[in-house]
Amino acid sequence: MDLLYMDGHGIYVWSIYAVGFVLLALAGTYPWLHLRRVRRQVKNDEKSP
Amino acid sequence: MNILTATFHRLTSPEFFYSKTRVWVFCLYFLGIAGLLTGSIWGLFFVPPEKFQGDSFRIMFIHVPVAHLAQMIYMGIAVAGAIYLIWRIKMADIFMAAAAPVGCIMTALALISGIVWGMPTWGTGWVWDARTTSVLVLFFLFFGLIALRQAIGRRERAAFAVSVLAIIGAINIPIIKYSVEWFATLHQPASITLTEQSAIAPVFLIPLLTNIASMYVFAAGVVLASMRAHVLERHAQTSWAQDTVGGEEP
Repeated sequence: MDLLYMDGHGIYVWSIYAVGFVLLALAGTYPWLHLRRVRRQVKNDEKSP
Repeated sequence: MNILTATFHRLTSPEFFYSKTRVWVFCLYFLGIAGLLTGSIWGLFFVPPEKFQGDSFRIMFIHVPVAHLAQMIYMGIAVAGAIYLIWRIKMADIFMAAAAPVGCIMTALALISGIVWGMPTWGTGWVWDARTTSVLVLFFLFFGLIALRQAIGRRERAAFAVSVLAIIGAINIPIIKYSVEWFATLHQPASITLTEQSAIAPVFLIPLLTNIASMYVFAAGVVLASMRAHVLERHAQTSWAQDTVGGEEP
């Protein structure tokens, strides 16, 4: 519990690590989703006459 | 022409860039994430509380790396803008398009973590002093670079406008850096410099440097991955793009 509470600072510390994790995960995932969308688009262009 | 120059010239070729950077992206992601996990777990669980700030100083293991990186990304975009304006190298424009959202996210995280750290430490989340305001301006500059590109239809015009804005906005970077020396601010001066001994004890400094280095590596992987997507998008109609995508694993 001490580790979570951190003398009252736990709410600040853990919330920032949570927000940081979410934002970095978004930043890291977006390029792959973008690339997957583009690859699908290129494949569709290839199939269309 | 030596091998470095030759490689640089070849990397400006979209086909070469797309095909050769895939492995780099995986390596950078892996090293960056592993380093960030190591530095963060170290900082959270194995470093003692700081004498004056208590446990809230652990926010610094996130705040310092992203704040530093955001400024470096902006400088990189400004240099790429100058390269685009002088030599019209399209990869410079692709770099600007890929790096701006990453810089925007890093600046947002720097601002949020600074606000949350300020609550227990300064007794307030926000003050309109020179450092916090200039970092807020940096956030708006990144946002402006993204919005300007979206707003202008023609790609060459958008690249030109973004380059000009990036170069003009670079004036904000020395303002951020020296704001704590030029003005009376709540924000403390730099604790880590290249010319002087660090004001931080090694027990705090080593995990902090681990996170700074790892954040750079991770961001390099994200920007490179995003550049690959932009390269393929801009060359979707070319035969190399269709051959490459056709031959790739699903």
